[in-house]
Amino acid sequence: MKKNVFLICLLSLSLLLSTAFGEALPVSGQTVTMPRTTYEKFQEEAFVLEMMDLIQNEFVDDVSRKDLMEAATAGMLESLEDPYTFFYEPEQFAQMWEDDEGAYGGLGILINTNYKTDKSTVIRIFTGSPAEQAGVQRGDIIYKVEDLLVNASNINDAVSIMRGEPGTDVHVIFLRDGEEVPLTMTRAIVNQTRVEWTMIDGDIGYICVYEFAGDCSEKFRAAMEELKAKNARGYILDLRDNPGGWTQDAEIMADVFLDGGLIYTVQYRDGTREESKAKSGCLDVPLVILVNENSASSSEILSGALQDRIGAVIVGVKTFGKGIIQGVVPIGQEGAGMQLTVAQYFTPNGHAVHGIGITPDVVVELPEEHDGLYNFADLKDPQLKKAVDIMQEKLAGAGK
Amino acid sequence: MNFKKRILAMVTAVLCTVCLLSSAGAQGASGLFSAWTVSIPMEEFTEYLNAATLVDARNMVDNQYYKPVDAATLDAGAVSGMVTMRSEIANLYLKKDLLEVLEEHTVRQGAFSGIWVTRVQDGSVCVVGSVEPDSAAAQAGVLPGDLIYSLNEYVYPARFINPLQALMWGREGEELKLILVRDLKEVDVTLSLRAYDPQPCFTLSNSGRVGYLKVPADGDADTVGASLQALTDSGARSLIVDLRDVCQADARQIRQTAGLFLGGETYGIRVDKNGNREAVSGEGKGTDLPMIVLVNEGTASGAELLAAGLRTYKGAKILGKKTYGSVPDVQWYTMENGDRFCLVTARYLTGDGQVIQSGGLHPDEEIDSAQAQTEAAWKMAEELAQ
Repeated sequence: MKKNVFLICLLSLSLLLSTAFGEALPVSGQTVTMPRTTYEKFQEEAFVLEMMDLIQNEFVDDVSRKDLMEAATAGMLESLEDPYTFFYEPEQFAQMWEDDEGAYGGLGILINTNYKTDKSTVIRIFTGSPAEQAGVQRGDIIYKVEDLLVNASNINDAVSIMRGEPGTDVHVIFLRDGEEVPLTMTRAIVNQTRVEWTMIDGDIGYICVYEFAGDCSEKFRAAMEELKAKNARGYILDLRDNPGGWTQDAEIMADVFLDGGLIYTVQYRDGTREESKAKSGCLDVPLVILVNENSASSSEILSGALQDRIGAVIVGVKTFGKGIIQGVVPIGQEGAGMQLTVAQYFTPNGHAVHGIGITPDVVVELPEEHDGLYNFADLKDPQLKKAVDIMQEKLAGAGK
Repeated sequence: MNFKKRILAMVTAVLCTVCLLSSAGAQGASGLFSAWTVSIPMEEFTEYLNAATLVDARNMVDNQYYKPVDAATLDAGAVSGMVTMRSEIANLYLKKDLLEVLEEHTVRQGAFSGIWVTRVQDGSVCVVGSVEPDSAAAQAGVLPGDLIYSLNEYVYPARFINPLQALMWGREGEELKLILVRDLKEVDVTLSLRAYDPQPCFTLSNSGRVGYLKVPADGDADTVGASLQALTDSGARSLIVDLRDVCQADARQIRQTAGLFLGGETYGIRVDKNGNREAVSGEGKGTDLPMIVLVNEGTASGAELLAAGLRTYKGAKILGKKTYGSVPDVQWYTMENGDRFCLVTARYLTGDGQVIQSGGLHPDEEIDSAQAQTEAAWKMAEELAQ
């Protein structure tokens, strides 16, 4: 659900209005004086407000002004026909941040929603979670949550329903091999693991980054420390099924391997460009990165940067191809928010990513019988096996 | 200038003007700045302030969206968002380009795919209700119950049921590309529209005593009238009126169809926002044949009123499943940009004042499977004919 997000700390216009105007605006009698530019901004809403009046007067049910305002804002953003630009109702906005914190009352599953097939699939189940206890499996399709039939457009509502007070029950119907699997689970506090790591095949450090969110970059640094202490001679970074997240986290991770220089370039609507550069680290070690068709946005920033800059070997299949960056901002005074596509980005060598993806140096597909699923650090997983073989060759070469 | 700096610049600019203004106001010299200030009534100001969510969103899009944006598109989007709020599925917003396509596609005009569309409660997309025998769809293997995921690569959510039904009609030979979902698997179907040869929608039982009348999904009064006449003429002594998946009947159709069965009885009471009530009654001579009525979750709108009327005035027994529960009266509006939208401006109660909206109409006998419903109806109708 998380997109490639770029945080902007912005004072919203309404915040300005309520703090500045509330106290200091010249009010004489029953009129308010304001800058013409601000008034013109307001005037842009005149038509929508007029239609809002019409709907409130004509529509048979009573609807609150607040609900209409939210519906109008959501519709306005939807009209851009960009799946990554959308409105957050106040509750959803709060939940988004909760999500980023990584601890919440819920079921402990990570979902991947495919807009083309309209299906939401469980791609991860957290250890010790209610979902694990109930026997939810990777690859299960979320069909119905309580009374809600789940599709790509209401997945956020479905997630809201699944979240909630620990100790309370949720009924979910999953689809497994075309059969309905109804499960009742009790919500519990779930701690999301964003990064997992271990040594594999002797002296290779293996790090799996599931999402660029919460404490992932601290965990990533901790992983590097620990694996280094265990005498890792090369690293395999697994970004398969990583949907992205905050770009800052991708920057921090890239910085571990890069000594200065470009990580990626952002380009805005007016053509202006902004370069994101590495600052500190420069770990000179053999690096192999695993990607697949669900590795998106921040995963693509990181793999693109390390492929271009230090020749990290990318193994797997071509990535998703989400080369646009979003901002997340609070709007209005009711706690709502929005996500907005603000720019596109390019890899250090100037390659566009949007609709293209990052092309692996070594293509290895997961055989069909795996159904897109693999286990953590499992050497029977052919993609990981290939990454290990490549790394061993590199290490053997380096040892000579 | 980078993104964050630009935002900061914008914020600073507004802040400066506000500061200037407030000091000017304090000195009582705001007239000095009248070239670039505006005074508006407090009420208007409050209204704009309450619209802060919207103002902020537009501001962000205008300044930061990665592609240029047209203000009219945003306006239309906002109206569409308000009209199609989740609470009412009968509200609909149609963009000009779809309206232009629809001008060439009208139900019962030209060639037909053979698909009659329906929807189920909580379904996000429409469903195939029935398939005309020997039609292009029948030949392509389309089955009742298939979910219609997309048509010609467009996804039509459940509220687009009427436009979608219209798009099932068109020029002879016109191609339709459908993505259906059956047992959770995608089924791709391409079919070309064929000249429509209306099939009789009635049959007489072997005993010759029971007439079965399948009301078409659009409630077409001419078809129903002709069938009813044929059954009456052939000596049927009881009737099965099949209203399953009848969901697209407009006000005119339903008035005529109600008249065929109920004569001038009141089959619905229109209640508007202010609680004003207006009785609606059919036009026709009615029938005195005893009846069994079949309904399901796809039975909606006028068909729900008709089923209730048949029970109230004709003592008909209703078999099947709880109906859809939506009996709206809509009003259409045209926007300056050519888009149109409709709002539910009133709802109907049954002729005897019952509420159907949301709860649906409950059958006298609940029967789950379609086949069992039909079998039970034949058995009861035979008994009625004795």
